[in-house]
Amino acid sequence: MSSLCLQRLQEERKKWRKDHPFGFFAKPTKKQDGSMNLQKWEAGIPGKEGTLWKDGVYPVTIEYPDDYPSKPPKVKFPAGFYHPNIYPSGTVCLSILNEDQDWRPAITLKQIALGIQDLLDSPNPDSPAQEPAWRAFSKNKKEYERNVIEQAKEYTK
Amino acid sequence: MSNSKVNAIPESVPLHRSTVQELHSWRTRDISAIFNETRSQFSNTLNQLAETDLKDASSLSSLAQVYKDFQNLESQQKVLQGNITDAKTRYRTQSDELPPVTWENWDAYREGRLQAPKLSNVFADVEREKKGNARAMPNDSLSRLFKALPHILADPQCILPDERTDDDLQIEGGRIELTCPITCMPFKKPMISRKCGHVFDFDGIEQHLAGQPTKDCPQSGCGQKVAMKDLIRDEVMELRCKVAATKSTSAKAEEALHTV
Repeated sequence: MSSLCLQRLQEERKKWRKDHPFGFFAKPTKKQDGSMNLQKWEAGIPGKEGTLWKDGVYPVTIEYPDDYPSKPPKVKFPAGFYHPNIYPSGTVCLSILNEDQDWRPAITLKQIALGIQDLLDSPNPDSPAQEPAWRAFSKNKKEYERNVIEQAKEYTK
Repeated sequence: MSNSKVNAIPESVPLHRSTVQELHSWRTRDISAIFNETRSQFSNTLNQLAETDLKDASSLSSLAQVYKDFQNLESQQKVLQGNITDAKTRYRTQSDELPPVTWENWDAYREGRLQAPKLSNVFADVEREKKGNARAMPNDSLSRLFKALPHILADPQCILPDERTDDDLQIEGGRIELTCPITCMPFKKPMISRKCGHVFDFDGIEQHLAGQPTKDCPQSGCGQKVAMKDLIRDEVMELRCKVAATKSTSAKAEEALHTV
């Protein structure tokens, strides 16, 4: 890991502890020996009030590559997570997390977390990442809504 | 001309070969060292003020004017030096075009049929011609710092009056961040991109570029590219950080005093 990556992640942690949006959590994981792994975090993204997602806090893992912040972190939901822009593996397809699109080193954890929360209820129909949720979202809204509400129950606050 | 009084001796004669050397030796004293010394004293004053936790910085706005006056003085001195050099060259050229004084042409010079230039007239001509294109002093970094100082002393994170038109600065809630967006650490050596005005720490941007000639500006939403050659020292940000450090030290000292 570069010194920049480590330094930045320490600052990200400080910043998050000092101030983070309501209902979210994020913390570095522990290595087997019990020490902190700053390159892999666990976080919870709450669904927005007034949306189909409101009852859940959705778990994600955030993995920072060695050349972070030049390269973006990889954000993953549990495999099989139901959302049009999330791959079967759970990987999130979001422009600000794509090095070739809108990722910039200045983007902070807070912005990423809020960006993912936005994505939950505002899927992008132009970049499908999985078959079931995308098909239901574009062809059968009733089924889509039912599935989203059902999924929220699995991840209740 | 012929009707008027004819001089007993010529009013002026061409420069004699033996006096050319003397003409060359006439020059203005070089006082640039004095100006440089004064400028460094201005700079010291600025730094001392940044390290003083002034409660009322409003009176400091006159410092910007004092510095401006100093700049004008220096610019006038430079213009004067330039004019003297120009006048000497022109005088010499005009003089060289005329035949040297001899017994044969003495009368021609005396009666004004041949007219040699006069140094004082040539100098007056040059001054008159150059008057129109007197350059306004450029805003050097010290003059910008003096203008910014009262605002920054009042609030190190304030948006300066001349920054208000730039709508894509790194502003969060109308405040300028004193941390690098790449390292997220307080600025150590802030560098500003001349293209987009975004500021990064030298170490952060250097590691981000990682030897590549150019990359997208690290600030999100900025459409500019950035290269090492686009980055210059951001002295305003340095001043902000220095003042912020002073304020935080003095706040801590005050706090300690209260606990005692």
